[in-house]
Amino acid sequence: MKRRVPVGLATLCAFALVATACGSSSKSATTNTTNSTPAAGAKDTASLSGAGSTFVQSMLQEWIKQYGKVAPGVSINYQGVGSGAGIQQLTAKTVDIAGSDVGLKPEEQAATGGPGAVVTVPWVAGGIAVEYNLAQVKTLKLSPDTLADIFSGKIAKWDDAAIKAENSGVSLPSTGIQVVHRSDGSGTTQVFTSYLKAAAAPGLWDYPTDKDWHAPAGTGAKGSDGVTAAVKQADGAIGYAEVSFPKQSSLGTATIKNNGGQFVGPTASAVTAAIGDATPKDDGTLTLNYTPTSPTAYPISTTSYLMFYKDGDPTKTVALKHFAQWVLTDGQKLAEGLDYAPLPQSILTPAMAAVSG
Amino acid sequence: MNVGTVETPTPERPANAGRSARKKVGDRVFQALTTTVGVAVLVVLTVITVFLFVKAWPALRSARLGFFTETKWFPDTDPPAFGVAALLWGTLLSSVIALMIAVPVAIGSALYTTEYAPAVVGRWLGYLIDLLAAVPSVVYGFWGVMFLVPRMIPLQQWLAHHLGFIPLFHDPDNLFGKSMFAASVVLALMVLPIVAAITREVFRQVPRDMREAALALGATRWEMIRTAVLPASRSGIFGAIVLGLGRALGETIAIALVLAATFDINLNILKPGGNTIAANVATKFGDAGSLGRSALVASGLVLFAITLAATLAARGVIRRTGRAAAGLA
Repeated sequence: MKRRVPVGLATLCAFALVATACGSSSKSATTNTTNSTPAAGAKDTASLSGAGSTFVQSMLQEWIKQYGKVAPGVSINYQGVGSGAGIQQLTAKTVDIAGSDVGLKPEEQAATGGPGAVVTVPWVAGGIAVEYNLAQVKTLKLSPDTLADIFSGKIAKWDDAAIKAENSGVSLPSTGIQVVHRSDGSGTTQVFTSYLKAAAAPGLWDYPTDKDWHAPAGTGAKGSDGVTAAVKQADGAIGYAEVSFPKQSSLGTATIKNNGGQFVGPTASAVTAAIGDATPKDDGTLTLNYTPTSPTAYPISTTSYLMFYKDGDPTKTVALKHFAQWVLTDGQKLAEGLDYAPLPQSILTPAMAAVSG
Repeated sequence: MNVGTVETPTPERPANAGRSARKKVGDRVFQALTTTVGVAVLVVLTVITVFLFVKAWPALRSARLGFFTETKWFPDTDPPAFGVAALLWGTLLSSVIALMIAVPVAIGSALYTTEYAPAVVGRWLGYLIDLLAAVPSVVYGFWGVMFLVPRMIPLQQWLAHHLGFIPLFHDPDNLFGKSMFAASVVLALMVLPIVAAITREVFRQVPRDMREAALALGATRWEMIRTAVLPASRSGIFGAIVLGLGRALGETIAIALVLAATFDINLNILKPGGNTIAANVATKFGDAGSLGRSALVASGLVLFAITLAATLAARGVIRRTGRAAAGLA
């Protein structure tokens, strides 16, 4: 993943990165050079390996690419094998970094050497879009109650009264609704079902909030790419996936009614606003608030976490801390370009303290 | 690999000169080498079994006998509920349907290349089938998933529409084509070349005398095949089917891509749903927790046991039909 760039160009970009979001598109390395100090990790030399969440993978690839220009001596290799497998590799110490969509469980924490042995910080936010395939329908508004009824199979037709009531002026076809969900275990499913449970009226979503899909309705597909491909394939289908997927397949995404009564789409700023309502926990993870109070918030938003050993190999740990600091500052500016969302300052400040300490 | 070089120190002596006197060094070395390799296979197999047992133990202890009766797969919830019943059903059902599709086609193509096709055509067809058998099955899988399955939707809908009264083809409107039937067709594609290649080889082994005898007795070509070629090849065909079955049982990624992964036991092969042990490991491993991983290993153990049982059963059948065929000839 490491990109070798001429030293001059690298320094140039290092300066530019500190000052502006030079790396937001990988092409522009020749923008303004302003007076600034080089990044803290510029002199580090380390080869780091990581594994875990697929949610963060494309963001991380871009970070690794851009950080390679800031700190040419640091190479990072990350395998998107899933959060569970990432945590397992971290506890087995076969990787230096784990990316995870969930925190460590008590027994996993014990396996790493007790609470505090592993630094856990959120490193990027992202929205989970509700994608649908209806040729004639350009905009679709859904409340959490309706969404829960659709995904539990109670609402079976697109011209159901509940959907019509929320979409006045839109002509909805009488097509049957085809629900598509993940067939593999996934943090995306966990966030989506947690949202339905928290936001819909009590009793509407009565299934466990789990990495696996428990509701009887719908068809399973492997991975967000599989879900999106299936939605794309069948008229009247609806599914959920990270924002980048419907965008790349030019599928419609629904706007979701938040607690302020507004219908909001999964834009970066709306996701950042939602994460602003999350509460940090002792283990470094966040308790997400799926009913955020901000009227601009997109409620189906989540974060992914970076994990590494606080007292690992000294050289690697220093390089890792510098990388984490870069991710939490300049790295955040790259998020929106890849359909993720930067973390709000209220989350970044304690995260910065956690990685630096 | 270069064991042969060890055995060449005595070209000047006639081969049988010292044989009764003493065992040659080459013999001893070669025997030691083959014994080591043979034992190594056993050791590897034992280590794998022990490993599977150790890793599967937490899940088996947690689920107890429910592991074989429970259909759901939710090992990481509280309380966990998981079992291989539905997976086992899906694994066997998809493999059996796949073989039902693949075997007749494979035998037909093998018979054509050995018995009917002109020599040149037969030889080239043989090369091509060998080539097909050498392509990794995942390649067929991807072709099946990307190309075949979407195009099979009309066929599935036709079947459901006209034969829906048979429970097998009952289907409530599958718009995605992700069904047990579609998965079985993809599986059939994967096992077809290997079954065809092996049966072709088996048909070629049938002694020329037997064919000529049948023809001399006035048999037509079809009668010759029926009375001479097929009976003599029975155990070989069976062996080919078992190899195909082994391939079908363990096939993973393509099936994981095709199946909608539900955890129920039914015969509605056109419905979106169904799952197999191998596909379930592929889809659930990445995000599984510690008990989830253990449960997946336990399901792997079950697959291991099925494959072993299938192989042993096949051995038995081959031995019996082999004897029967020998008696016939």
